[in-house]
Amino acid sequence: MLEKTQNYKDKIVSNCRKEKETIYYGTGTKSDRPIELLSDFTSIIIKEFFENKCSKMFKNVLTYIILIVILLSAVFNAFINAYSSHISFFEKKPIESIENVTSKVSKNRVLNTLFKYTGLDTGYGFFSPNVASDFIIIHEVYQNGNKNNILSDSKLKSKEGSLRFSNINAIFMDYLDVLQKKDKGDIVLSPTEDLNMKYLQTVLKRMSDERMKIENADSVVTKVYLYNFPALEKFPDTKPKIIEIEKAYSRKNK
Amino acid sequence: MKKHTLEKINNIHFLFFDGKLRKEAIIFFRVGVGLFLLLHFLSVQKDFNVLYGENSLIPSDIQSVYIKNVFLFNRIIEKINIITNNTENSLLIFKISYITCCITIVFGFFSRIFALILLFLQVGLIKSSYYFAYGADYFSSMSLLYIILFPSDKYFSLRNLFWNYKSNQSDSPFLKLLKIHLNIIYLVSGIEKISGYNWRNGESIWKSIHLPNFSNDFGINVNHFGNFPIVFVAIGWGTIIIELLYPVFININKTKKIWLVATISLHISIAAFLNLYFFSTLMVIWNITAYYFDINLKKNDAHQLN
Repeated sequence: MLEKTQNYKDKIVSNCRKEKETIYYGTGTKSDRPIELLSDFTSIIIKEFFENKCSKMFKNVLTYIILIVILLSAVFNAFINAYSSHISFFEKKPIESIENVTSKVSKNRVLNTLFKYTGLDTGYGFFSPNVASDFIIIHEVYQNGNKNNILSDSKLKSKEGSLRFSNINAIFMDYLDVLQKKDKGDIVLSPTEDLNMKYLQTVLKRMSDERMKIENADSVVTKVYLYNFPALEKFPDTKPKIIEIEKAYSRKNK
Repeated sequence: MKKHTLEKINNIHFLFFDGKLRKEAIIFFRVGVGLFLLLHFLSVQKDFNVLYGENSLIPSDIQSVYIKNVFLFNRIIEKINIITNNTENSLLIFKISYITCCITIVFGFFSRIFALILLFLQVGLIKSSYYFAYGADYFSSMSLLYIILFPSDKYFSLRNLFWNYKSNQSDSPFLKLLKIHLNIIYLVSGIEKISGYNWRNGESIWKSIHLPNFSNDFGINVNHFGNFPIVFVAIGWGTIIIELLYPVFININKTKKIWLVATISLHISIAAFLNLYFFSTLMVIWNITAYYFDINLKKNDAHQLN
């Protein structure tokens, strides 16, 4: 019996090493295979798997899975971001089925984590379809009866820091959209717009509170201004217009 | 399976696994991205405390209110605090870890493992101050993903020097993925730009160079070109054409060089006029990795690895 097992094992090993091919389940019938051989057989298969064609096939399949997942993620997020920008810029009504898919994907924990940890949760618009307007945030700081106007990025010492801070403008753009809607007489806000408005006001209030803490002031009024540079067609007019769009107050508790 | 179906599958397979060595591209990407991440991180050190963490100008609890499924910077610091019992020391450990990861990536010392750790730290950091993040951060995360996927420390690396590391992973599939990714990026950007009328009439260029937060460092005054709006229209259309036709001309051997030069010039102009130095640098690194080394790739360099 032992001799037969050893012969069988040797045969498999020599076949695999010489021909470097995938191992098939023996040459004989099921009854010919001794049970003791099973563990040896498995170890040989695993060894062969990592050294030969199986391993190569497995690696290729894994590579294709990664390729497909990344490509689909990139295409999906590029499309969704482009679509959202298009809808917002041209004030179009969103397509319900697309909204449903987006909502489902954003609620999916696995996909959400994957997108965030790969950086694929971004669009590739780069200043399109339109270059967004800039905003200026000024803190009016009141201290011992004196008033000082301080720019919100005055605490930043590096160019990269200032550039990063200027990205806060994205939330004011949403606010501007709501204001424009109101100007057109459409006073009823959607739940999302209403939430965005409240969120922006909270952000502004927290900025004001934080500034009061930093400056040790009695009170702070934080104002957001829209910086509107005249259009090219209005040249030689190059005087920017500054329009106040929102403000928040903070006062020291006495 | 029919013969032509098998041939098609084979062609797709050959597209990704062409077996050519792209040693220089892999080294360039690893060193370029590692240095980029290091400099990008160091560039905000003076403002680190007012941008990130509990003393941020906009507290991170409100910035990250919509962020889910990410282990945020504050939580990372909390976890380190268990060992150090001191936030300042925890911050120092975080910064040292970040910088160490960048350096190990540059020198090819288990780059893929350190890129994975760095990705965890980087995403935690940028998502905690969500409103202070911009394009360069997202592309940094994607670059780290590619470092993990590439056989990054296969060539010219410390790992190779000390451990004689030999990887049999093919160079080509994920470099091809990087190329397709770049094609998608520019195509989408081109489509979005051409759909907005302001890019076609030059207004977008005019507006972007007059944004107060993107004013150029070189004091270049472009206002006198206001009398010649055709200049801005031409620049706008030039940008659209470079981006929209990128997937076509960058993949044709005869036009590859011209399109690569045009695209890199576009990013250098963005850096010069809009102050987006880091973003532009990273895009140049991606472009050079994907296409520059292809220009010099000779047919007889091909080694069938698969």
